[in-house]
Amino acid sequence: MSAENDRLDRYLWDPSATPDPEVRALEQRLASARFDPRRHPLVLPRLSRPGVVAFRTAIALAVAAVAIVAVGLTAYWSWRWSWTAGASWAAEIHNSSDNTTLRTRIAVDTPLQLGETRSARVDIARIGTMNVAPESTFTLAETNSVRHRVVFDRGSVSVRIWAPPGMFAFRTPGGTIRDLGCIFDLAVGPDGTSRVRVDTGWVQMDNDFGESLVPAGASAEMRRAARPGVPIYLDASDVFATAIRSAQNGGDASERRELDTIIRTARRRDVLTLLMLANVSATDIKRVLLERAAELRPAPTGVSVDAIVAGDRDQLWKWHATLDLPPVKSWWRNWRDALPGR
Amino acid sequence: MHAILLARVPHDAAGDLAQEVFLHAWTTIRSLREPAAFPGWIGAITRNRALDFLRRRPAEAELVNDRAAGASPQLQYEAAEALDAIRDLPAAYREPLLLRLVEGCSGREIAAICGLTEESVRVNLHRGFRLLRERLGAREVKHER
Repeated sequence: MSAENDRLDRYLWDPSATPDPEVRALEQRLASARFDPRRHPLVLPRLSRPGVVAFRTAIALAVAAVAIVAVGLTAYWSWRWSWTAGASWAAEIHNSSDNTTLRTRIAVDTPLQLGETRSARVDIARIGTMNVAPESTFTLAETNSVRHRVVFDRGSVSVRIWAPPGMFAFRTPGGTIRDLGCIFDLAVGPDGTSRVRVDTGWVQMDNDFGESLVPAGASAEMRRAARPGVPIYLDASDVFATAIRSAQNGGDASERRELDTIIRTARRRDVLTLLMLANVSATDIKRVLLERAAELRPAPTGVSVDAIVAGDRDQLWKWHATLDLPPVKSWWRNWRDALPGR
Repeated sequence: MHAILLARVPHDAAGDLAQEVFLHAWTTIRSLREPAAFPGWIGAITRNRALDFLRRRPAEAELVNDRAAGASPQLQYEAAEALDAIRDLPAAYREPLLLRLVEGCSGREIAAICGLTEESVRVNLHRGFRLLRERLGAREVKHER
């Protein structure tokens, strides 16, 4: 009996030992209850490696962050550019005589004339600001989500705008000064002459007689009843700048008189001025200006002085396009203009 | 694992639950830091899954067919009766006996799976088998009457 018990216990402990009949019988009785893998086939999902999981998580987070930023920027831009038609602009008028500042609003069609001790800081809807110097006169003429127009009769103003080209413009006695996404200064003299000086981006001056594009680092003038002046770089010599202005203000005779000075004092960078002046000059003067420009900065392949003199303006603009100028359509790159304190 | 389930749930459900436990273990295996702990880890998952099954589907669980599929009706009945008798045993004996008699595990393997000492397993197998023999004998006598 003891031997049988030993065998039973040994077999219970170790299935490879000599089988005990009683345990074996129970095993066989329970055999049908054994797990049958054929009845429960396992289809195991493919496991991602930890690195892959981390990478996917990082990608998902990055995509989510980009989406959030995109939505935020879109909402910000929509808010920044939207403006109720005819709504007044916020302004602060500072009086230097008693050092006081008055917070006010500038309504449409209400002229504001600043005395010799008053200056104004005006919010241009939400797209920028303008700092108006004393003894200036201006009127908010039109304001809405796509156009903001200010009539600037006289005085001087510094403007900082970050918005699509043409959204903001000044109407001056000499013509229209259009912001193309930039920082610039405008001065309008008693005789109605507008002078623009551009810090970033571009400004367009236009009137019934023509138009002129002024890039960053350049200035230009626009007189009543005259074609807008060509851009002159701020670092050009005084002799060159004076000769250019004189040439434009006195007709062909003045231009011929100043031509030698212009040719003599022009630098490589002044090719822009030479090209733009040639664009509006008489044929003989045009050729001289273009030949000098070609000496300073050779015309690109496919562009010839003869063709431009013959009237092919496309070639002149191809030449213009090689002058390392900021692209007008990339106004949004000047996003720093939207930051306060510049 | 299957035996652990058999100790708690009907035979029909045990196969499906075993499959679920396998899949769960496969997808969460990274949470197991010490390979040596695998038997205890998967045993714990299995017991939890069985408890979960009973908690959520008590009524259905009672209705599930406890007979093993594929066998003759007589064999199915005898197997179900034996399973029933094992489930009536004290908890300490159920898993060791099912692991041994149904899945063919050795005493050492049972100790690893159940997290017991080999001596405890040896005692549980010994006492559990004798108690099972008594109960099955009593049932057969009852049936003969």
